[in-house]
Amino acid sequence: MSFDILLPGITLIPILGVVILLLWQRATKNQAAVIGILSEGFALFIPILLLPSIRNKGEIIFSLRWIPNMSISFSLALNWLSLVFLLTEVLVTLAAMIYSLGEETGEKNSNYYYALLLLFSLGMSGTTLANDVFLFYVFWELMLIASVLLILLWGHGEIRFKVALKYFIITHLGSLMVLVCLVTLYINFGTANLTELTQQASSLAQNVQVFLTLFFIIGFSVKMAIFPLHIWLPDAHTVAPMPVTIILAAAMLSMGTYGILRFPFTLFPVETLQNFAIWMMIAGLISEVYGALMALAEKDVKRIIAYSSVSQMGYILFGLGTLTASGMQGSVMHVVYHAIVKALLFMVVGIVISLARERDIEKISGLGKKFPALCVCAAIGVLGISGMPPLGIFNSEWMIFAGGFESNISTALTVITLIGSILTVIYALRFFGSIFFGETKPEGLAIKSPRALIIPTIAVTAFLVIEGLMPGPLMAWTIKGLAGIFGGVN
Amino acid sequence: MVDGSVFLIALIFSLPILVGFGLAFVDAVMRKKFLLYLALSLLFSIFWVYRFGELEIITPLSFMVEEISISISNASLLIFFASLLSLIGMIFLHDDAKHQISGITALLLCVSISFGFIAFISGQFMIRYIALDIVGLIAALMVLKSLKDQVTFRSFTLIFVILRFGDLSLLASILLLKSYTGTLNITDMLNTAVTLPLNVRLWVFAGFFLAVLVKTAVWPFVLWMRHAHKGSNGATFWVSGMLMPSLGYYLLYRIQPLIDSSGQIKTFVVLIGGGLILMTLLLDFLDHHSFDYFSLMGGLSGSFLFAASAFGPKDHLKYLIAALLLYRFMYYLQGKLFSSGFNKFVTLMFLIINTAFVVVSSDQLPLAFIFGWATFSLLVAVWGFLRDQRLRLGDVRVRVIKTYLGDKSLHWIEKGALWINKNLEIAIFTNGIYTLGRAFNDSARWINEKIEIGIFTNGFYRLSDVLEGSAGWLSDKVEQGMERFWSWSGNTLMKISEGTFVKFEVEPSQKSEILLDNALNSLDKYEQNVLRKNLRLDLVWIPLFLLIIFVLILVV
Repeated sequence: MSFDILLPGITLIPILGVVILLLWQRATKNQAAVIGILSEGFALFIPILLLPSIRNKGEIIFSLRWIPNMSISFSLALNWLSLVFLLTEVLVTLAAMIYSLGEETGEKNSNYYYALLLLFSLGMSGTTLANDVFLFYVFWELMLIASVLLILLWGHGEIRFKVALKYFIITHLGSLMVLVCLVTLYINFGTANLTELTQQASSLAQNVQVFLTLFFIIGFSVKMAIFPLHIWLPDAHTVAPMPVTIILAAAMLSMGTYGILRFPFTLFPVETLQNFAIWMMIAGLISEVYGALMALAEKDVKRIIAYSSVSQMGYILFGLGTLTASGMQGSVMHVVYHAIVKALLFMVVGIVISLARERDIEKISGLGKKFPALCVCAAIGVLGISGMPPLGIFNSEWMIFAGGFESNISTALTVITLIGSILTVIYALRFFGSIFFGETKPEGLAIKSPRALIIPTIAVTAFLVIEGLMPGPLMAWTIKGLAGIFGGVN
Repeated sequence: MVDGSVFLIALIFSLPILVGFGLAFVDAVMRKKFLLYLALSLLFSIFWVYRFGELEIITPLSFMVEEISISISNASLLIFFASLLSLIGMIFLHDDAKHQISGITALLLCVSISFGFIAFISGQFMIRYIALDIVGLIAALMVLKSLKDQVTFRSFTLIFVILRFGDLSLLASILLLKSYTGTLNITDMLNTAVTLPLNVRLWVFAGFFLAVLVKTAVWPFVLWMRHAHKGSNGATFWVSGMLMPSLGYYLLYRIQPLIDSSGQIKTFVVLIGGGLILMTLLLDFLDHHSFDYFSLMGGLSGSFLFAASAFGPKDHLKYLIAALLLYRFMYYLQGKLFSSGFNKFVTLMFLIINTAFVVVSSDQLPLAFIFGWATFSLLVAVWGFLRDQRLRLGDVRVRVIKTYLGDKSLHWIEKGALWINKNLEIAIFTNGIYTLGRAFNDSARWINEKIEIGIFTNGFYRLSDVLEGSAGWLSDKVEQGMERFWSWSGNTLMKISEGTFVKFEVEPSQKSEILLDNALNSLDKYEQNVLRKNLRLDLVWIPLFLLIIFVLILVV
């Protein structure tokens, strides 16, 4: 029995959830959460059901005519590459929704809050599944609008208006660059279908290919928050309510990586991309070191982890820039592992802030003795982000570095990137040591950590350990997923 | 035969972990006993595996699509055996009054034994790397006393970061080699490494050698060992004091073919070995607080090993490593006992080990190397003795002058002898030595101030300050600068939009409203004026007449 027909359900079920939530004005937070979690749960369940079919066919496509005279269709495609990204973002959203139950956010207008969370997730799932450039852009913007509204309506402090505007403008600038490329492709080939575009794009003039690749990479790098395009990230992460921060950092950043893989890396031959390889590696290295230095200088616990994302995205861009199978596979795996670690660390930060009512790292210390479970979760998170084996990031990092050496672009650059990773260890240990060691402060610390927050945190910690110990399935999926990149990576 | 060895290998790996978990449930006294029994049974098992000879076993497990293999060599077993022997001694020496072995510490110790063993026998480089990383983490964790103590956490951070630095350099070499060999199998990788172009070999060698320098805690990486030594005792110190250096030595043993493959690398290694011996002695001469006894002798014996790895035959190198590991335990013991007699024995042992190595390998060693080896061995032995006697060359100098220049009525022969003694022996040889000593002293002070304290000790903190400072500067200038730029851009955009909006949207709308108002007002006024005037009823006749005319026209 084929479940292929269920594919559009990944986008339709959340829409149904949104409609129910919008109609159910009197829904309490728990009721709204149940709708949200159920919708997201189903959206997670469908790709799992479709796994055997993907294994057989390699790709499942669903297509519905939408604007026929413009050759635009509601076309979705699920393959190994999109599966990895889809599962990551749906799982992260699910974890964030469960974590929301223990948070104060969304106590009022819960139905709108969960509806927007669902729309945010829908934007990401749609972006991942879209097989039509027009549809892709619609979902891409939906993701932005939903997240901006979440920051605007439930963000912290009056500054949220400014931050939301900044976030919107800067990421929208990136989106516009992507739009320019999509429109150029559409005009040149008269089709919006990605499968058709993939077959034809390499026939474009070389200079057009170079121009499009440049615009695609810069546009998607904004979403990835690569230095110096990261400027929106620290503020947005800091001001957003914690569940939204979790989704932003752990899931939405990965959309940039997906975009780079789905468009320039799939559409154009490797010769075109070679022009950008070293620049991507350099930008990745700068981002890695710069983000780590900022995390070291920062005192706000939430911003420390936010800057860490800038650094981690640097590794991913570096890996993509190597243009090797190991490097790109490492990058995709890093997206997944980073999502898990970042979700965990933000969950820990959320609990720390809720316990201490304080965000300055110098004013918080000694929580380890009082909250051992939290301390263990944080320790695993910190070791995870430091690339300590057997936790997952170790696997992805060494593959990225291996890609660097295999690329033969610059051994020195790879060595610097590799040694630069020591900065991650330093800021991660500073974060952990300052918060969990020493005399307990501040005064008036909460006695117990909220169970609704600690349970999902422990679950994510366990998931991180399991993923690290059993990287096999993820590896296999990413290898298959990358098979389509510039006609198969050598 | 292989089955038996596989069983024993699995046992050596799993038994410590199982025992480690069990130790959480017994009291401190029992814990110590069990650790002792564990070490003894492991020693017995290793001895038994040793009897099977060299083995290559492919396991059904894989890591990252690469099969995991086990490579049992006599060298790895011998070194691990020596390391475990010292564990027994260190468990005995563990000072319970200072720090009892807790359940967690015992578990960590057991895990480090298991992963240490894996690091020794793994045939796949990445597994070996993972095992090394885990042992490094445990070595750092051993200094943590309590969650309330932020000072020990700083020591933990320092140890972990330095060891990780070594691990990363090792990783760099592994991955660089993998890019040429396409495999992670240690034997295949190292066999291919020697055939690579020299520039690639140098990169690979640099990464491996840096890892060795860090793990064996020679100067300037001795910093982590000092903190580890200070922060742990007895059994808990075994991981950093014995296991970690033994893993470093074994890595050196494995990369010996790479060293052997190039004259340049060989010379470099010998020079590094000799240079490190001199540097260590210089620094200790100037300030004996630079090194504790253990770190000093550890650094010195490690440096000898580097030199031996360059020219010594590989077969003998493993025995030298095992002997130096046992010697390492001896001077650990001396550090505990502070006994002058024992020190002589330790110094003698050092000389015996070094002499034995050079005698056994003499047919394969260049003469210059033998001469250098002997000189440096004597120098270190004398130094060890002098250091123990708390003698400084300054004291010797005073004693010599008093003895030979005292006021005595002398025979002319004696006077002549004295003259020779004064002008030749003292002025040239003795004082010459002192002049040299002073130069030595000054240069050592300079190195100490500028390099050790200036760069490595304070430099570490200064670097951290600079890092924080530059990070702060970047944060203030670049980050905030960008913030200002974006704010400025936003504000300018807002102003332009506002101006345009006012000019083209608000003002025209206001103007049109005013115009409309004016028009309406004038209309209103006109209407008012009209209404204000009296009705002229006489004008009614006009339409009436017009109607009559119209009717008349129709009639006509």
